[in-house]
Amino acid sequence: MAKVVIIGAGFAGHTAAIYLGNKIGHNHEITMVNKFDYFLYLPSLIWVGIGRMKPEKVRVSLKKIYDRINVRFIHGTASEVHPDEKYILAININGSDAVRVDYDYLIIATGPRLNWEGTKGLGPTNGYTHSVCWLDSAINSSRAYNEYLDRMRCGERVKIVIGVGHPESTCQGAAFEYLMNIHFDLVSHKLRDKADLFWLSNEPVLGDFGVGGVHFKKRGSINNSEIFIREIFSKYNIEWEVQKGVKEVDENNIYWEDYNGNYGETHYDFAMLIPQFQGVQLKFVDKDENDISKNITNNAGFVLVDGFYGLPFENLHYSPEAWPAIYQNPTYRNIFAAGIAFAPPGSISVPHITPNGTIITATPPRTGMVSGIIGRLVAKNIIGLLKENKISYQERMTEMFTACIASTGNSLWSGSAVSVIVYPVVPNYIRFPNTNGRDESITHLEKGVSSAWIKRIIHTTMIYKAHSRFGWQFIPE
Amino acid sequence: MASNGVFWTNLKIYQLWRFFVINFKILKGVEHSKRLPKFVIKYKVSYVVNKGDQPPTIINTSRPPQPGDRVQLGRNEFEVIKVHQSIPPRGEFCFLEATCKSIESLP
Repeated sequence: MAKVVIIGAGFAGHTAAIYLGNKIGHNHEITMVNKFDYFLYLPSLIWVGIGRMKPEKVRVSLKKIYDRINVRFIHGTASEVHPDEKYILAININGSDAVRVDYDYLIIATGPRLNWEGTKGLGPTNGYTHSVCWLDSAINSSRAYNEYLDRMRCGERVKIVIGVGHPESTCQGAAFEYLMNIHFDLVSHKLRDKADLFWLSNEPVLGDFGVGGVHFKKRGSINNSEIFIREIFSKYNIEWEVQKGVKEVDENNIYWEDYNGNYGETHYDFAMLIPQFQGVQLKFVDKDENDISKNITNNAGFVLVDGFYGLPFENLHYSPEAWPAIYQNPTYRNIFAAGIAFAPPGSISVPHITPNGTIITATPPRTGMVSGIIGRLVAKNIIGLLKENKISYQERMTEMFTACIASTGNSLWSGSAVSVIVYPVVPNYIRFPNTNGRDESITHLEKGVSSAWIKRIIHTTMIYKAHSRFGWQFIPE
Repeated sequence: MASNGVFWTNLKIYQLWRFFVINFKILKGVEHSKRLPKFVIKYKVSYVVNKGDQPPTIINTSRPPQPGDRVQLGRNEFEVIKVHQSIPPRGEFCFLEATCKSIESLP
């Protein structure tokens, strides 16, 4: 009987757990270690953040599901990984002593560590800005936002700044979605004329979203996401600035550096800025008790896998095989990193270094569907290793499809959403040399109420899938 | 032009059509992704012995060596002490280097 341990029950980890539990849970020991006793459906936190969805609608309790599919659940955090002796140390949530959990295969699916400290004054706990990156901060954002609604009702004019709060932040799509929902909410409250909405981002151009932008065919002509988003912002009277790396925030202003090395500031009343994502601080210890974390993870704390690291951007751009295919650590081949936890070989968007030496780069997003796909792939490969001693599945981000539906108004009648359909996620200029690295028959960008319907259907089906209910295997990640 | 766009965005019958089109694109994309060929990784392992006369030997294998594994190279048996990736994988091939130490010589 083999032991498979999964650290983290996000999209990647929970997907891996339901595949492993359902397929081999009877014959092998599957263990999940997670800080929270629930799976959080993050895409809908945007609606929680403006008070349009109740918190319980985005949470799925894990214990019952895991009991049903023979997955042992440890409600706690993993502190150390001992890859030579194949065990991890897990600390129960009630703070008791660390428990040793042995493994034959380990899946690190910890998700990101939100690096609030990377920007002074950033964040809901020790800073001045708000967040929709987790449930409690989204609830607090909702409360703060409602206070500003009251102020606007009293005639006060409020400046709302949404975007990213570090020169190397990712997840611009989530911030964009939050901004759009705020606009829609203000319109519904008839307070839109009392608010100045502002988009502040590190993207090289508007609509980049960390994936190099999206080029799509519409009625025979090629359009791009920059023009698409510019039209939306123009229509909704939203000001914007890109190529900005936020360096510091205080209670009134956001201080940034731009591509030319100039410093500036943006005043705000209410701000939601996504922090830099780093790897969770897991310590890797060898058999001689030496800290070998630097051999297993990159500088940002993400786990090194079967990618080709160190290529300059110009070379990476034309090296689709540099992206990892099976997300397996090359040194400890029984360790896999799924979802945001793996180290990408570089950025998808064009990186930039300012004359002052600041790196301003929209780093590659690996959230949502991409995380789920990698979780499924890793689980299937571990099943293959246990049953047939071979790995059979691979999928690089240069081969991977993803769809992201960004709500721009939470109403099935008068709302809308932007469907961003991208194939592949990372442009593959070898396979698609003439169409900006992507399959133009699939890649698409569209806004309308139909996308809002799809968004709501995805919410319902993904929550259903998270419960591992009948037919869950047929629901795409 | 802008009001024309708003008209189509708000026309529910047209949006119902777009609902099916977008879903079709999503399912097509999922199917393209899942249609990727299954593959079996082949490992090209270069066995290097720390000391002694044993020259480096390359062996193709379907499973990667692990520290502690024993391998026969020529007439001698060796134990793998360290495995690392020599160059990044290419397609279905994974290139490893296994450092070994001598155990015993066969008669």
